[in-house]
Amino acid sequence: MSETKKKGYLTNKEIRAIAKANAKQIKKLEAYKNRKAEESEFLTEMKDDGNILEIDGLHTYFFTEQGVVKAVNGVSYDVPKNKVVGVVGESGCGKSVTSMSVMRLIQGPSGQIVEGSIRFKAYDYKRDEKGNPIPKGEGKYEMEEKIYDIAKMPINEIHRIRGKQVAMIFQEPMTSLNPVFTIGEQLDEVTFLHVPGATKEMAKAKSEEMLRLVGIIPENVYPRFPHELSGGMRQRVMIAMALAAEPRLIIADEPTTALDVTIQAQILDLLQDIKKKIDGSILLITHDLGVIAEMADYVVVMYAGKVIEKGTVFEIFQDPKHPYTIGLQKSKPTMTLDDSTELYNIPGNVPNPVNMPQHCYFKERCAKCTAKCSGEYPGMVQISPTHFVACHLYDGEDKNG
Amino acid sequence: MFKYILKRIGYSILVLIGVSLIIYFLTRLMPIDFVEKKISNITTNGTEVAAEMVEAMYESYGLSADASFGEIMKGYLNWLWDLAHFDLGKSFINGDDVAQKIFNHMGTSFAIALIATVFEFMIAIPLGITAATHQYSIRDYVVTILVMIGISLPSFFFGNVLRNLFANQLGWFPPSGMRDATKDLDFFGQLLDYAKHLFIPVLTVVILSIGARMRMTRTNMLEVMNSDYIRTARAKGLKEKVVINKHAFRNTMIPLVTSMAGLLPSLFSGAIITEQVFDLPGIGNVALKAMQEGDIPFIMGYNMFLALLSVLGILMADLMYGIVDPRVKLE
Amino acid sequence: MEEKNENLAQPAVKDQETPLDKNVRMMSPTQMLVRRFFRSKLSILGLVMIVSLFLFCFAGPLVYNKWGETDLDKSGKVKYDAASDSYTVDGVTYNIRWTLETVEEDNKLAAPSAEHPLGTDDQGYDVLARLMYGGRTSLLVSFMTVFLLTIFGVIIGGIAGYFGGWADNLIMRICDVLICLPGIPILLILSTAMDGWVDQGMMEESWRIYILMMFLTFISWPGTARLVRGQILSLREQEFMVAAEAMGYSTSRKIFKHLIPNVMPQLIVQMSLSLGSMILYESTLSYLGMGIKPPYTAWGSMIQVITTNTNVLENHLYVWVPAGVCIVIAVLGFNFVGDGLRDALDPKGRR
Repeated sequence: MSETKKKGYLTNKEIRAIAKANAKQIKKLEAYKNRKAEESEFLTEMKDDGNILEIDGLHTYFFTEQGVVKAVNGVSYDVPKNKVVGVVGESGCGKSVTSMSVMRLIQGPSGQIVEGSIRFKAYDYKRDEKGNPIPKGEGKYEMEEKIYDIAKMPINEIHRIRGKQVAMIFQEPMTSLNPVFTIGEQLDEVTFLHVPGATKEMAKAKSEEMLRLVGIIPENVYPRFPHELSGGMRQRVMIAMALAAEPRLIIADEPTTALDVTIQAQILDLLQDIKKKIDGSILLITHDLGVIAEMADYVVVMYAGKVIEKGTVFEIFQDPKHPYTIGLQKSKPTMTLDDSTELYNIPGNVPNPVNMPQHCYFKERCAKCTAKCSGEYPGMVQISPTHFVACHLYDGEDKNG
Repeated sequence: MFKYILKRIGYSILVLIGVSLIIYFLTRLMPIDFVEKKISNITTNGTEVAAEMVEAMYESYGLSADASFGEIMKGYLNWLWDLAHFDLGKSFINGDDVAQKIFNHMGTSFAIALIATVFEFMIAIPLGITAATHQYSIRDYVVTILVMIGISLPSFFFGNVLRNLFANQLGWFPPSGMRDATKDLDFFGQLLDYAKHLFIPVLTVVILSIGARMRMTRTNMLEVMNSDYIRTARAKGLKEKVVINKHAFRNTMIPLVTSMAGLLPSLFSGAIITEQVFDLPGIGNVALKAMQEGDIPFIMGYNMFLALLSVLGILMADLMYGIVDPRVKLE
Repeated sequence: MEEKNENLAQPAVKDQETPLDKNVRMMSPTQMLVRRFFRSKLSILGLVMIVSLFLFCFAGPLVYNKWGETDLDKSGKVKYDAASDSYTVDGVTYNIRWTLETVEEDNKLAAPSAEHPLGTDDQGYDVLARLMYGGRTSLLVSFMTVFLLTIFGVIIGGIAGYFGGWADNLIMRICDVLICLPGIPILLILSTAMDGWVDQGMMEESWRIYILMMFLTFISWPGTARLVRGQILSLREQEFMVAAEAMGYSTSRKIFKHLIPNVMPQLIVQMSLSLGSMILYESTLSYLGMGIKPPYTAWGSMIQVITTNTNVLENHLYVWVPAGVCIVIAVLGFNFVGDGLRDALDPKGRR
């Protein structure tokens, strides 16, 4: 370590040591991921029945050449049924990795879920002994609720969740559609996949219905290739694709970031609209506080791989507790008559993700820092039944004692 | 689309004219006395040839003894004019029609190259794909090493090693030639005989060319597997097998099919070294002999034939690209 | 997936006043290249292969100096031993006995022994010594060709990319033509033409391989030129070039201080990969008898003998196999190094 400090970067010897340690960890985790397991192994119970998703102590790490990056370092939050939860934080804080973990889309072998649980209340087809769904009228099947722990699922079982139960809208509509298939083929695929025994007509009808839902005239788009559409149109198609299987949870990972401002507004309106129409929850990930304020019921603020504050949208916007959240609010550009007020910025940078300090990660940048902050990382303090904050400033106020 | 093709064909003809100029001038670098000596050596076993005969030969190939620029250009234009009539002239050595000779021998070369290419694609594509989908695994490293060995082996050395090992030392296969002329065989016997003769040459070509194809497949597949639409396909809930075999494969095939179209004409061009090593009557071997004998009309005809094939290859690859990739519009 | 910050040495931090971490400092691109290069076992293997071949060829003859490149082993002595005859003249019997002196002969195709660790070839040259000297020729010729090729390509590609317009157009059209030229066959034409020059006394035989390789340079620069052109075209659009433009730098300063250093890494990769293919070209030409002629040699020429002599092909492997192995090692080495460099340049597009 002393040599590292002296030379400023890792020596080849250290890199090899890291690579060896990584390989060992990755091998173990990959074996766990690829194992075969009985359903009972990953069935679990919800802590609160009102939730559809409970993320509990999730750790997702990237084993890189420079060392282990703890991208998600003990994150816990819940998504209640039929609510919109907004996750906010700056780039690199782990908000996307958390959502990717829910979908189990973390790029292996370097990225791995190391520990924690992701409990999800699925509404799946009831299956007979042979694993076939039990029909109940035309195109309808008997359903049942099952609670899966997604983090413990073997990767070859994950298709029970993906698409059907949890759908995802990505940040980059320009590249997220397969260029060699038509929009219609890509939309129909979802129905074929998730509705047992679906016919071509059924799939097409469903796809067209979804396209109409997102404000597209199906005839214009269904037979087209992705490159023939604009970015906003493609994002609408992505949303239609996410809705097609009627999932219980939609994860929208910065759905408007890559779009023009005017198109952003349209897509947000569309999401608002859809929020009312569908029977499901939305997990909205963004770095735009405006979007959160408009859409979300609950807000989770993340910083450097940890949740630092969570609460209802009113609590977070009206009464932010954590100095970082307060800083975030202040750095939002507002229209004032006084031109001289400079836009607020939080000084400093996020610490190096490889060598995270033991104390509060925000300490170096915090204006309200106390002696206690050099101690261990602050625990979650409950301010109100729904409002939690991880900061030593509020240590005395814990309602739980 | 039609206009585009016409434009491309026009441009290809221009390129071919450029190529033919270079080839013609190169050939004319040969001192004329030397050519004369060669001709007389070959045609009359050393005795003097009648001056008129040599003169007549020059005439017919546009090879004026006067090597001034104007004369060479005139000769070139004459040659080009004949070429436009599909007349590549007659061989110095035995008076064969060059075009006919090329046509007669290219079938053998094509057969060998086609068999080798079929095997090459059949082996290289699955291996390249598994290497990409199992990046950093044992099979990935094995494929990488195979790739490197394939592209690093000199054909003349490797061909001779195989020939020496399997034919001369072990005696499993005949060392050279296409077929056994001493035996009277029925149809299947003949087929088996061909297979026996062509086994090592095809093996040589496959091993030497498979590396590049595998690397190409692997790189493409890796690129595709890391793209956003593959993530979307996974997020839909498709099984990994479907993601690879449907969504990724279709995209990986675009450059592969394109390169296959580009490769097709070159199958006729003959593998000079392999055909020389195994003494196969392919176009490459014939051309090598012609070159050693100084058979100018044949050399020029053969080189023009090769240039035509590569121009055709580029053209076909471009057209194929427009067909298989919906994003590309040929205009 | 912005969280997947793999290149921590290149922090995505704009604010340089407060470094990301005291432990992380910026490395120069070349430093990074070297470190990444040495991390791969195959690159190191390639480097070891090349260095040992160079040592073998250039330092080898200093240690193994029993035989030179053109020293024939004359020890193949043929002894006509004692012969006797007797005849009778006038009743007297004369016994005549004579011994013929030994006749010096070339010690051809001698099996490996202490005297010749790899035996002798069909002419009586020591194979090991020829392997070293032949390697010098092969390596030097290839290096020279690649060097010329790169200079040629950089200049022409640089002109095309930097000035654009009709110059670019013309150069690219010439590239199109040259790319359609068949490689080995066209060299065969030139070689046949050179047969004529040698025949007419217009040229020394020993120039042949150099002229051939020069010509190879002449027809193979389009690859490098296209690479340089493409790089320059994309670099021209980048901010630092716009800045250089705004600062009013001279054209040569822009090219040599800003563009060339940025193209350099790709060029180095291209060069090491073309070194491998040039060795293949050179040895193929030599194998076809168009390379170095006796008494001098190159690796390809050492294998040429098997095209005419089946006895050597089958029974005297030590004559031709070592040269082939050397070629394979050289090409493999350069390819490993080139590949390693490419990986080091672009860790995402591995191999």
